[in-house]
Amino acid sequence: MSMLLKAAPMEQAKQARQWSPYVDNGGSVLGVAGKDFVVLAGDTRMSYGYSIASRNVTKIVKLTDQCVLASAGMQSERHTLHKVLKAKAIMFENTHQKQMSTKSMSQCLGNTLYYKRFFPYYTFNVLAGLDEKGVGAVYGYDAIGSFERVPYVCTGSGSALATSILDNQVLFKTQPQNKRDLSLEETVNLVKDVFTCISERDIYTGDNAEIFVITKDGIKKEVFKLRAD
Amino acid sequence: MSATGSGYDLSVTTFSPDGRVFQVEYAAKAIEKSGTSIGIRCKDGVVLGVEKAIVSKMIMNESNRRIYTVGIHNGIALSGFAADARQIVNRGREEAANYKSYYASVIPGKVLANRLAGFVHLYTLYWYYRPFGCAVLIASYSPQGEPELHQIDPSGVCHAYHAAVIGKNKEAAKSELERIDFSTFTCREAIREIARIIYKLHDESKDEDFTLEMTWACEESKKKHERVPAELLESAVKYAKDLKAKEEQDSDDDDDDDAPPAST
Repeated sequence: MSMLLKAAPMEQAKQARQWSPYVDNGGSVLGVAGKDFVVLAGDTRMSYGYSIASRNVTKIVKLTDQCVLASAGMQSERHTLHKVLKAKAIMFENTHQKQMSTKSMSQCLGNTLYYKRFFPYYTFNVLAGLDEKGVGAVYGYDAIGSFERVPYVCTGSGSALATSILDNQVLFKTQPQNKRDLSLEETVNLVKDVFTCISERDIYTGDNAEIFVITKDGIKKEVFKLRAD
Repeated sequence: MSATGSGYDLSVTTFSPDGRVFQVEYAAKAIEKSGTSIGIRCKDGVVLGVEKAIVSKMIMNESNRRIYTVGIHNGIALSGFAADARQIVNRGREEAANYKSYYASVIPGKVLANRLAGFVHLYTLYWYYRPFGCAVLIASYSPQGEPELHQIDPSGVCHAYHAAVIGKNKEAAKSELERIDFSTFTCREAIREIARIIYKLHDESKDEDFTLEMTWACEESKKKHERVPAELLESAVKYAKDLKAKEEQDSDDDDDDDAPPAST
């Protein structure tokens, strides 16, 4: 009996790292909505720990003629999620003889993410497109599909660095007396500046930024150089 | 009567040697005794009208529904087994709600019709189910779309129509409808036309008394599927009754003018 009461010798608490299915490949993504346009940008650096795995991996996918999706987080999850959504967009177009509206796509993405609520896609998504009235729409998501339509959003490793700048420069939160709508050119320049700022301080953001601009005339892509260090 | 299936008609999973599935054809027969349902797709919307036989004077008005609303912008009119059709309506409501939760937008008529057609078709594939003994007309006018009218048979076939009829007097009603120019037809005209056709084809001596149930989804109703306003329906019914009375009188007069009395 006394044997049982003796406490077993304490083992060294094993600190072995448990295998994780997730990895963070870094990078930042941001979208800004305008009156009749949207700008969606994402850097092209893919990191693995403190190494750079690639300087030229896109985070953005075109879903319809009026809608693009960008995702920061884990590259392989992003790749799969983009494939799944593209397939859904094509199937919708086949049954409806017209493309999914941005609103429908936003709902579809939210549902797709929640479907994997208990083994989530490690992606932080931003969906951008023109709504049914032709006004710019940006939707920000979390990993399990909670989403909201917003004037702008930044996700990924540089999100904290960018969001406050955008609060100031898009919604003029700290200077309401100067509040005004930004033009397309001003927005694109702002996005470039924001990415430059993020790359200064965030080691996971840099190399190039792909900037997608959507207007009623279609989708245009521009590649903007960032710091490579 | 129609040719017997002679053994090939016992199960819905059996083909006859000439490639027919008799059970599905018999299901279609169940509809031929039921009250007529007419749908017309107009320039500015869709109208549905049903000849509802009064089964018993004890039934409360409006309790015997033959047209149901599905997802605000769609209407389903039925002929045949009402209980069977109720299942189709319920499924339609689920599909509409499900679509909304997935795509954040109103289900287009074509998509709803195709999904319900698939549902109906399902019941012709398994031996432990029997086919639906009803046909439905689906009227749709979604905000981002155009007016649509679809018909689903017990076989699960679904087509889009300018105008469609199911139930008794189907053939006669179809020939009446073929005269319409659908490119200019409006919903208000359609209401009168449906009333006219139903009253015309109703045979007082053979058929039971009936009431007319009519709904529409059009510009005036803001694309929502609703009952036709009471005054419009009343005036259409009056027009139909007057026209019928006039035609009967004309034909009586013609009969008088024709052959002299047989007696010498």
